[in-house]
Amino acid sequence: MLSVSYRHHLPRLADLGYPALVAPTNARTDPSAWEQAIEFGIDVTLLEANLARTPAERIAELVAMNRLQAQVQSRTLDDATRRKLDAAELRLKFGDLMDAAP
Amino acid sequence: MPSARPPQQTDRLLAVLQDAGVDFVVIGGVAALAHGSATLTRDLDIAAPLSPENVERLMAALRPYRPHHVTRPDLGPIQDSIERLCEFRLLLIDTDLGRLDVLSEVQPLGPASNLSAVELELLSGRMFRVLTLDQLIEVKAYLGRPKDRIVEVELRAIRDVRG
Repeated sequence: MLSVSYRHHLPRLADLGYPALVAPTNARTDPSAWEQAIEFGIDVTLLEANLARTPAERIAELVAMNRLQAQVQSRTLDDATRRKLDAAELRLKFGDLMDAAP
Repeated sequence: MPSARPPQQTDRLLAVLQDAGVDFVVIGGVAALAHGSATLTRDLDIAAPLSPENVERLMAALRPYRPHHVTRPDLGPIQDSIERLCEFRLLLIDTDLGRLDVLSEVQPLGPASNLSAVELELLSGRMFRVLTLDQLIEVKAYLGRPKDRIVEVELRAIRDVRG
């Protein structure tokens, strides 16, 4: 470390022909929405993988996953349990709006 | 006794609706997924005017797939008149192709005719109207349920990287 007495002998950056250092004007102080998603617990690698696909590929993937889910549930859930889960999910999804359905 | 529910076939539902000329915008989980969300959904939500012409087309499209009210499966295939179906704000329909929820208005945006949509190729060679990313975020933020909150955060991140 230089002692205080030597500091004023050192050349300044501007004297050596370097441009002055200026903070970028677009510097972010708040975390980006992407960073907030990571903080929230979103697995952004899944988002990256999905964004690399076309919308049609995303729908095809959804259909394949739904088929797998149906196969698994057909072996693990009985009708009564499934109906109970469906009803709970429906109530959670639509709440009071359910009264506006037949 | 094991459950024998048919798998959700969102691709076929979309094709059937479009082939029948139903006026609709894809909303909800499928719209989120179309924009890049990684959260799976088990039904297809659409916003559609519940006008006599549109409901007629909708029911004609679904009739081969034994549509019935989700809330009243005991009644069997839907027998209500078109006029009667138009009186509701939403139709929750189960079919052999899976679940279809039809909303005549979307909170907090308003009626189906007020929505902003983008055209996306959801099926190979076929374009569909999908709720815009901005409006979808608005809806998810308004709903605020745990699952919607997750999708909202995902969609905000997607909007962020798209710039």
